[in-house]
Amino acid sequence: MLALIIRRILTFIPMLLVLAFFTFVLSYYGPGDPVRLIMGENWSSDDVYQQLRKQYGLDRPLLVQFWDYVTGALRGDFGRSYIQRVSVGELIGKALPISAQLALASILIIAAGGIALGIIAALWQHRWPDTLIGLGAVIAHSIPAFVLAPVVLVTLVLKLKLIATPTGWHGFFSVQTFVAASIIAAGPLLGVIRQTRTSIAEVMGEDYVRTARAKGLSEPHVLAGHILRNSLAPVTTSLGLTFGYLLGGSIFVESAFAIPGLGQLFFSAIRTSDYPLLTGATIVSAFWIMVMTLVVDVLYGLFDPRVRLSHG
Amino acid sequence: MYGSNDDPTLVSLFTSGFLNRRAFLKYAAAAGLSASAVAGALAAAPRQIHAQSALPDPTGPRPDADPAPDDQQILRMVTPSPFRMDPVTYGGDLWQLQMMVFQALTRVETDGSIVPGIADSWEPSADALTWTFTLNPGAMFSDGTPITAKDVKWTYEWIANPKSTSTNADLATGRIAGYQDVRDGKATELSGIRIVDDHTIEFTLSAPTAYFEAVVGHFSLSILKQENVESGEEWWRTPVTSGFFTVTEYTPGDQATMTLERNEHWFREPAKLSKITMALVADPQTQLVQYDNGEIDGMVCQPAEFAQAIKQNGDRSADLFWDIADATWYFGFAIFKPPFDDIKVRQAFASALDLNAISVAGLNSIYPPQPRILRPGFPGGGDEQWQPTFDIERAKQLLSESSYGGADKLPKTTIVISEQGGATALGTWGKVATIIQQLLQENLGVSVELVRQVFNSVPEQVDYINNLDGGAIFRLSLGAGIQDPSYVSPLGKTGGSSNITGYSNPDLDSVIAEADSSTDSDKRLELYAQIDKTLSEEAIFLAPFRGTSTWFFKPQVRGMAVVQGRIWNSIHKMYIAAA
Repeated sequence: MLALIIRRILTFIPMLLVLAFFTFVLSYYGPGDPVRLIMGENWSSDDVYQQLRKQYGLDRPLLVQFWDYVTGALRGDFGRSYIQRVSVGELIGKALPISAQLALASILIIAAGGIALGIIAALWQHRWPDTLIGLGAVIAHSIPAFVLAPVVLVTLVLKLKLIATPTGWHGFFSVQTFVAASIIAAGPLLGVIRQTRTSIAEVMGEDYVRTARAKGLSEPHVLAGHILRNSLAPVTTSLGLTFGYLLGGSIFVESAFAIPGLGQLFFSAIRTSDYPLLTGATIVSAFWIMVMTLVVDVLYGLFDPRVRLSHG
Repeated sequence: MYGSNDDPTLVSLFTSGFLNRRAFLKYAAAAGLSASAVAGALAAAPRQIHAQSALPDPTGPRPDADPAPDDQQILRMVTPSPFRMDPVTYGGDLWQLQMMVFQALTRVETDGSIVPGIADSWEPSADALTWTFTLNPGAMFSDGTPITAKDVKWTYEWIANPKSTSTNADLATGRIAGYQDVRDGKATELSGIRIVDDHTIEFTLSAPTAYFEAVVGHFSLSILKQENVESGEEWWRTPVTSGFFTVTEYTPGDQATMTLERNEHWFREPAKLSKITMALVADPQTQLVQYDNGEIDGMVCQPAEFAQAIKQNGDRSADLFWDIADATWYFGFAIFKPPFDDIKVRQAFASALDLNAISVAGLNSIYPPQPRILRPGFPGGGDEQWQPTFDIERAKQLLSESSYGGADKLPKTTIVISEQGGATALGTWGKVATIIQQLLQENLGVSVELVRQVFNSVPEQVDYINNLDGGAIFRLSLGAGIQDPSYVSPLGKTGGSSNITGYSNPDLDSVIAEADSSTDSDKRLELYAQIDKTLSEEAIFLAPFRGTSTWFFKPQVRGMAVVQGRIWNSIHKMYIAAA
C-alpha cells in the first residue's frame, strides 16, 4: 500500500508540470491582455505599453517565461499578481485555508444530510418519504448556486430579517459559513442521497443481512454494523472526490458572500487576465484534487478489503 | 413573465417598436424564447414603430442639511475590485479611491475648476513653455513631514522612470523636457525640472502647454514620499499619504478591507467625513442586499436597477444620484477602408439610427446619446446637436449621394463587438449591436453582419478589421484623463493615439496643432469646440453615447458631486446629514 501511495505521489509531478504548461499557454495565447488592463484609461499609449511589457518580462519568448515560472515555483515563488502586486503565494496561502474550511463545512453538511436522507429514503423506499426526499434533492440540485445564493440572501436578510448580510470570512463556526456551505452543499447532496439509497437498498437484500436478522440482532445493530459499513465505500468515493473539487473554491458562492477564498481568487484572476495568479491557483486546485483522489483510493481500500487485497 | 432562458431585451426591443412582428418571431425562435413570453410580448406590442422615449435628466445635487455630529460622520462603502493604494502603477477604477488619499499639485473642484492642491499658485511664461508652481508652505505628508519641491521633483522623475511601471508616464510627465531621455535610460533626472527653493518648482516643457495646471492635477502625479516608496515593492501596504484622508487599516488582496480617517496633517479645509470604511464585495446583488438592509451607505447603481430607479416612485428612486461623465462609449467606423472612407456613407448610417431609443431599449437609459463630444459644463463643451440626427429620409438621400449610389451597391459590412480583457460588457454592447443591425436593415436596407471577438490589444483589433472582407464598425471608448478639452486632439489628429478609426483631415490637423499650442485660453476653447463640431458632423461615430456615473446613496448622505465622472473627487464635500 505504501509503495502504491509513493508511486501515485510521484505521478503528481509530471501531471502538474503538464497542467502548468497548458494553463500557461492558454493564458498566454488566450483573450485579454493584462498590460492593457493594468494601463486602464491610458490603454492606447504604445510607449507605456512596450515599457510595461518589458518591465513585467512579457516581451520574452513563451518558453523562457514558462521556465522561469517553473524554476520559481520549485523554490516556492509563484510570481506576483499583475493586478494586486502581492505575491501569488501569499494570496493563495490566505485563500486556501478559507476555501478548505468552507469545503469541509460543505462536505460535512453533504455527508450528514446526504447519508441521513439516503438512509431514510432507502428504509422507506417507494413510499412518500423517499419521493419527498428525491424531489427536494432534485430541486436543490437543479437551482444553480448563482441563483440560489441571492435568493437565500434576500430571504434571510431582507424578508425574514434573521441575519445581517453574510459577507467576508468569520471562521468555521459561524452563521455566515453555515449559510454559504449549505448553498454549496445543495448541488452535490442529490448524488450522495441517491448513492446511499441505492447502495443500502442493494446491501439490504444480501444474504449476510438476512443472516444477521435471523441471528436476532436488533434493526439498528443490523443497520449500523452490517448494512452501513458495506454500503459506505461508494459513498466515500463520491464524498472524497466532491471534497477535492470543493477545495478549489466555489466561484459563485464565494463571490456572492464576498468570501476571500480560492474561488474569488479565480474569479478576479480570470476577470483581469492575471496569468501568474490564474496559473498558481489552478496548480494548487489541481494538486488538491490529486491528493483527494489518492486519499479516497486509500480510504476505499480500508472500507473494502477486496480493494486492499488486490493492491497488496 | 419570462422563462429562465428568455431574453428580456428581445421582448423590450419588440414592445418598444424596434423589431417588427416578423423579425421578433424569427429572433424569438432563434433565442428559444418561451411561448408565454412571446404571447405576452405580442399582446403588449404597440402599433407605432420607432417610438421615441424621453431620457431622464441627471439628478443634480442634494439639498444641504445640518450635518450629524462628528462621531457620526462615517461613510460605509463597498467596492467590486481589490484595491491597491498606489497611484502610479494602476490606471483602473481604484484611482477614484486614491484621489481622496493622495494629492497632486492641483486638483479639480466639484464645479470643474482647477484649484490648488499641494501647490498654492502657478504661473506660466508668456509662451506657456515654462511653468512655476509655488507650494503651500504648510503642506505635509500624513506622517507630519513637510512636502517640499524636492518631493515633487522626485515623484515626477520616479513616474517617468520605466522602473516605476507607471501606467500614465506619458500622460503625466511626457510634456516635461528630458522625458524621453529618462524613458530611454539615458538619464534619471528630468532636465525640465528645476528646484527654485523649498517651496518653488519650475517646469520647462518640450512644447507650449497652456493647460499644464490641468496636467499636474492628474491622479497619477500625486506627490509621494521617497522613503515610503523606496521602502520596498509593497510600500503601498502602509502608504504615507498627502490628501484629505489617511489609511488607518488596510488588508490588500481579495480580503480587502480598508478604513480611511481624516488626515490630521491635511493643511487645507478638512474633509467633512471623519471616517470611510471600505470592503470588497464583488457581487452587485450582494451589495444591493447590504444596501437595502442599511449595512452600507452607498453603492454603484447597475443598469438594471437604474432602469427601475429613474421611474417615478421606482425602486430606490429617492436614493439615485447620477450625472454625465467625461467619457464616450461609441461604435465607430473603420474610416481607413471602404465604404466608410466616404463621408456620405458614414453620415447616412449615423442618420439611420434613433440613438435615444437605442439608449432606452438597449442600455436601460444609463448611457444617453451624445450630441457632441465635449459635454455641457466641461471646458469648451455644450449641448449642441452636431452628431447627425435621426432622419430616415435624409439617411437614404445621403446614401444615394454617396459614391456607391445606394444600399445595394455597398460592400459587405460587419459590426465587430470587442472587449479588451474581461468580457463583462460584451452582453450589453452585443445587444446594442443587434439593435443597430436591425435598424440599419429596416431604415436603410443595409444588411450588416455581427461578429463577436476578444482582442489582446487595439492594434490587434485594427489588424483584424483590416483583414475583414468589406467595411467594419467597431466599439470603442474615449475618456478625459484631465480636465481639459485637449483630450479630443488624439482622436481627430491623423495618426493620433486615440484615432483608432483612421480618420484623417489635413485641415483639421492644422486646427488641432493650433489649439494644442495656443496660449490664448478663450481661443483654445473655441478651437476645441470647432474640432468637436467637425468630428461629430463628419460622423466618425456611428452611435456615440455619453458615459455616466450612477450611484445609490442613502438620503442622509449629502454633498456629493460627479467630478470628471467620479464621485470620489467630491469626497471632501460629502457629509452625513443629521437625522
